[in-house]
Amino acid sequence: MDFPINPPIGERVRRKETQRFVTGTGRFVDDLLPPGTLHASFTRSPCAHARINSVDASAALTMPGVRAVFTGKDIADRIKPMRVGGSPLLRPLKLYPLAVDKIRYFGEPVAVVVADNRYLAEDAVEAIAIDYEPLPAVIDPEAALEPGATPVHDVLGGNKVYKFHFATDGIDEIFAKADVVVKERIRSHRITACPIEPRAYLAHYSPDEDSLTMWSATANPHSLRGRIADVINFPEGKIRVIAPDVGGSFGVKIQTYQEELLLPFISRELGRPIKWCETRVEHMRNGRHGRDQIHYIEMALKKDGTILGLRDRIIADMGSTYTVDHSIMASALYMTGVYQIQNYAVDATGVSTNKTTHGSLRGIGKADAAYVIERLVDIAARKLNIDPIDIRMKNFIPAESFPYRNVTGALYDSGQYHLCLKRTAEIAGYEKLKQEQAELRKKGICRGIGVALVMEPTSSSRIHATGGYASCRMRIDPSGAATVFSSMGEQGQGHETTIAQIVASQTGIPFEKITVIHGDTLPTPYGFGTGSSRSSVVLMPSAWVAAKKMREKLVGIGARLIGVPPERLEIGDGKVFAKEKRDQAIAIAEIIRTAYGAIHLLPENMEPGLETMGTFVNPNIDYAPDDKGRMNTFSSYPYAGVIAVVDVDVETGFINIVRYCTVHDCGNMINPQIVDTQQQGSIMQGIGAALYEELRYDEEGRLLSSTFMDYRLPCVEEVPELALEHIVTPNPFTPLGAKGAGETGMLGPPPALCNAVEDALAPLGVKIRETPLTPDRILDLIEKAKSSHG
Amino acid sequence: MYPAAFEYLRPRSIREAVELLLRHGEDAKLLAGGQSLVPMMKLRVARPKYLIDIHRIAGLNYVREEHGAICIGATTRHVQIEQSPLIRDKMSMLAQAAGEIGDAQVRNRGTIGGGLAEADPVGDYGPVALALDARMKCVRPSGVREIPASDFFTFAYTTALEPDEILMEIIFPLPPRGSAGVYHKLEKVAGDFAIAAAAVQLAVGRDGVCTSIAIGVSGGGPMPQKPAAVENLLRGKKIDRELTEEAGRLIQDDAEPIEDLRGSAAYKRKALSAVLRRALTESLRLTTNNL
Repeated sequence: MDFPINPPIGERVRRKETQRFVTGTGRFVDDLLPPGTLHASFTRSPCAHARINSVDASAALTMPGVRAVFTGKDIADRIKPMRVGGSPLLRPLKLYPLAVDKIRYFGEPVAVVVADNRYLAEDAVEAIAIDYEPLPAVIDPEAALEPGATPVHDVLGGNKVYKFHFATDGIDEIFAKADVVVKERIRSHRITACPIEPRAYLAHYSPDEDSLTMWSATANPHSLRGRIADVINFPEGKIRVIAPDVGGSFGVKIQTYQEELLLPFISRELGRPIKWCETRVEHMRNGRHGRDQIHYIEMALKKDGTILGLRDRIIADMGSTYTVDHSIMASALYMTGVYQIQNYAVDATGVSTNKTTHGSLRGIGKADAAYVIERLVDIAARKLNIDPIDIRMKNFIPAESFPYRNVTGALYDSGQYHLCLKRTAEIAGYEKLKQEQAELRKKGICRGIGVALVMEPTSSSRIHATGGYASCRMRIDPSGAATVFSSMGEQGQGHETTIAQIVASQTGIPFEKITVIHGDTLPTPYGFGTGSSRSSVVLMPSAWVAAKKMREKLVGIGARLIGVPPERLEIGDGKVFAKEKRDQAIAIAEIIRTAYGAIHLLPENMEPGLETMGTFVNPNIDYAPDDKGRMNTFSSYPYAGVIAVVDVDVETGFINIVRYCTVHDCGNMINPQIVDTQQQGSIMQGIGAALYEELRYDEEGRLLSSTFMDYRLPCVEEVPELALEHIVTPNPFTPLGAKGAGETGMLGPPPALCNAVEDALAPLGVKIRETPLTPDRILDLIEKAKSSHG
Repeated sequence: MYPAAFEYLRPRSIREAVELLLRHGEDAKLLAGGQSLVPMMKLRVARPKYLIDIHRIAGLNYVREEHGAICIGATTRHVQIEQSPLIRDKMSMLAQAAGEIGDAQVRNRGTIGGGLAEADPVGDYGPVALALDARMKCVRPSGVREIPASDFFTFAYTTALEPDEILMEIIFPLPPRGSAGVYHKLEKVAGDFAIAAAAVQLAVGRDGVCTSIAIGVSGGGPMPQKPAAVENLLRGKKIDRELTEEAGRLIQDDAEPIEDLRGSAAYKRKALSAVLRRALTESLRLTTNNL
């Protein structure tokens, strides 16, 4: 296919955003302080599950600087409950910004204090007396499903809140007749994303104008605007949401939070700006958590390694005030991964527990699926004594089958899995690695080689979630500079740069003269937030559409002015010129002057000015399942081959990543530098998830890992030797040929490192079924294996 | 991350600091580099009414050699210890330990006196101070005294310092000539507190027999320890693989680690054994090179 990707599209252009961030001149919510701002602080539940008998704020109200206290009861009849949304399969639930009569998770907000400054607010929070009646905490999702388990939500009666079933015909016979069945229980553990900026909100209701401005560190300003309007019953048109610079989202800021909807209400009540910036401890307890699925999965195979079918039972811990089902849905629909598996059955159960709300997190659900299937394929290979690369090559969807309809109805856009893994093996030196491994084993060094090929469905669209399109509006000013208004904000993705590259490529306006405005609902067109890696799939094409329309207008005016038909004209060097006769030309500056001033010279029926609007609809999406329940909810399918090399220290259980090799394919790249850095960060986040990070709860449901002392992130010293390459298989459904590029990196490390560690310890027969791969867990497995052998 | 209200006091001299401490007693906390105290205040785990900032007192920041010892002022920062040519030359294990503390930001601000007085069970200075028989020079209204490292740590986050007493200087006697020191730390990620750590200062004769041995460890209990039994086991014997293994077993059997998110007690016992054996092996290699 031919893609219109002329420079600077495809170039390693330096990011426009970099300078302000590295010089500390970015502007975040916490940098803002309108006159008269009051500060909020929340009383949070010290237990996970309890009835609230009473809340006494009388002492707090008398403390210095305290302006107001609101409890759940104060607000419950004055604002509408939040929507538990996104899916008809989720059992409905009323959620208020503050707990009303029952606590459902550790750290849930119970009351809010508003004071002259945050310190005074925090002091008053300590003076609020709450009488709790403790209830048994529901922590284990499997125990939560047992008959007689305490319900997290009384109105629901039980803890099963989501159910999905899918099965192809004859699946049981496939398993009955298979040469081999591999059966495992594999669990993905609970983690969170840890953006460098926790959540931060500033709501400012102006009584004079009867309007509300909400500054939020959100990844989803337009949706937030609608939700505020709904919950506080205020006209959407009078609300402006601004996401200034936002320090990372990784999914956790695309959803709307309890505190985020409460601040506008308080601001309206008190007629003052109200600010709240989350602390890290609050973020660990209240930001969205991810993963935490149990899979009872089995694979039927022939002796030669051909996969015949797959059967999975998923139990997903959705936390207490569950709000979306994307995680469990994506796992259930994409479990077959990159393999030709047309026989599949899944039973997925979503469970409510007394843990923090589960939600979006880089690789939501898809990471669990990639992890489980890439583990299972490896386990099968070991059982059948087949090389882990060979078993994958045998079962990959071949390049010529794309677009490929998978068993659950997903239509994979494009891919070259065989080529990708072949290239990964080449850069890793796979054959040589195996020889080295054999030699090192003789010396007692446990080296392991882990293989994976992970696929990441990106750019989702669901009914009633407005992710199905994105828009850019652009204007060339009379001065010749361009401004682009983007429907999607950014939290580090580099849209200011990539949109400018696209516009520069189409219109000939120099890159430096293009400004991108985003994250503000007033000037930007409506659109869903930045998540699911959808910006390169829908937003960038919408910029391309707007810029293409602009190009047509510039060329049209030029054609009229120099008397050459538009189809014979080209843009370059600040001019519109005839392709065959370059001196037949007119300066773009002259065309701009004409568009704004000399409008009598414009072609017939052309509107004055230079403004265009581009919208791009997410291609390749089914909004409704077919009669067999099959549907395609994502539109592009990037992937990456990984070979990880590790040494395991059998005395300490420590894992050293000797080398991490990956070959990534996200189709055409608008800015390969940005893709590289996305991959690097994403891989490190995956390494953190595999080796270090875990949200751990005690038996009473208190989160033990509430600070960075207890939830260790990898830092620069943990970065392994990293070999990163790309192959390019364009996405045929978008004009730029690009796929999503934000998440694939994070999917690789959990399966690749588990496979590598299991490989390293294969002589001992160690099996890895639980993560993270902490030293104590690994040493424990080693010693158990040794004693059972010995 | 918003501390409770406190009053900030900034004495200009040790004498003034001692007076303030005497006046405010248990309500006061000394602030040196603030790398542990300030985060605890932000979490409201520590809530001093008075914060006495001693890190601006002149004359508490130095590294010098005196009477066969290296003397270090209490507010000397980790980075200065890590980079001091004197310490690197004559007591490399101490420089090594300082370089393993936290991250660069922590090392630029944190102080040795603060680190020792904080007495984190797995702080990096504890094992080194114990191994080298350091002495803590302290001042209080009634005068100056020296507390041997072996008496200094009394429990987790607890020292022999009296409420009105300030740690002024740490005196590290120079190790025997020809000996070699190694600080070996097992940490989950760079900059974390240790799971277990061992400081070993060892000298052997030409026959490979141990002529001097000094050990300090952390991770085996609520405070760093000087494992005399292990030292006795090694002293006067030829240090070989078998003896090293025995030392590892001995320390493991005696350890009573605290279980936390860094590992179970059972795991930490084994980790402690591994770090001790590795520190022994490495110091043996270095001291043999010195011969």
